[in-house]
Amino acid sequence: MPLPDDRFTFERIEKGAHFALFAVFAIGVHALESLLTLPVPWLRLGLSHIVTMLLLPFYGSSFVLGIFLIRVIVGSALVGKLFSPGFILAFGGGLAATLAMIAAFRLAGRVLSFWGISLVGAWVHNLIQVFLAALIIQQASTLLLLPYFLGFALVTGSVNGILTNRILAWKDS
Amino acid sequence: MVNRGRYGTSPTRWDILLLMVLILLTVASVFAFRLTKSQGTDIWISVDGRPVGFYPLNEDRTIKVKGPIGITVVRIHNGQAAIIEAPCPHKLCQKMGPIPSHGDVMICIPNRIIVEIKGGKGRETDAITR
Repeated sequence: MPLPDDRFTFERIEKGAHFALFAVFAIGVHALESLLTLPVPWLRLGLSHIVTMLLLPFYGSSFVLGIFLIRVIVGSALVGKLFSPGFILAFGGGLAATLAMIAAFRLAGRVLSFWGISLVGAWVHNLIQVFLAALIIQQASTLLLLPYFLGFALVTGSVNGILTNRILAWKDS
Repeated sequence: MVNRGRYGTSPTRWDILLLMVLILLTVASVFAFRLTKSQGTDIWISVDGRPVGFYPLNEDRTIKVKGPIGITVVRIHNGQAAIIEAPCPHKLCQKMGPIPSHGDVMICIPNRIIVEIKGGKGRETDAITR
């Protein structure tokens, strides 16, 4: 059965190849970050979100959402956490953060730099994550951690956002 | 207006404003837990791990509990429980009360007594970290 010509334009094949390439890169970042031990469980630097922000202006919303889904599933499987409670937290928080960053970029990308977009992502990520944790272990006292996690998000969000700003400024120079 | 492909890489005043708003919300999140605290309905007393009593919080009463080193007196008053007399040297358990909410505990280690508030919402799991 003949396929319509536009299925195989150069642009589409190129975008598909880039998707595969960046998916592998994001999986690598995700897996390496999971192996990084921090003093408190569930605490992550959020380096994978840098990948999301770097791709967002050039490939669009559905592209980065697809990269997120693949990297969180394959990345978690690689480090043996797929479908563990930690995976549910990473998936829920990451999905919320990715959607929040897409929304922030599309609606306010003209007035915010990646610092602001990263702050929104990190903050939403940790907010959703703490609420999910409270739901999973059925302890309302988990919410006592909320200020610490949200404060930590302001730090990691700033670091990641400023890094993303620097990388893109360097690319354009 | 949807933004496509355009981006800025220098911090703007809106970034700073956003940071300030998020700092305020972070500080406000300190109160999130208070909204979810639920009033307990009963107290559960155990000595050396064995349950010795289960009392409703809505009736005022005084309970004498015998432990290995003497009598600890627990009082229920106005929906709260407190240890009002203890034979132990530091009286830490007395300082832990009064307690009203589900999941709150008062513990006397020398006299092996645990007073815990039950009822209301919540389950008895601790934590899973991965």
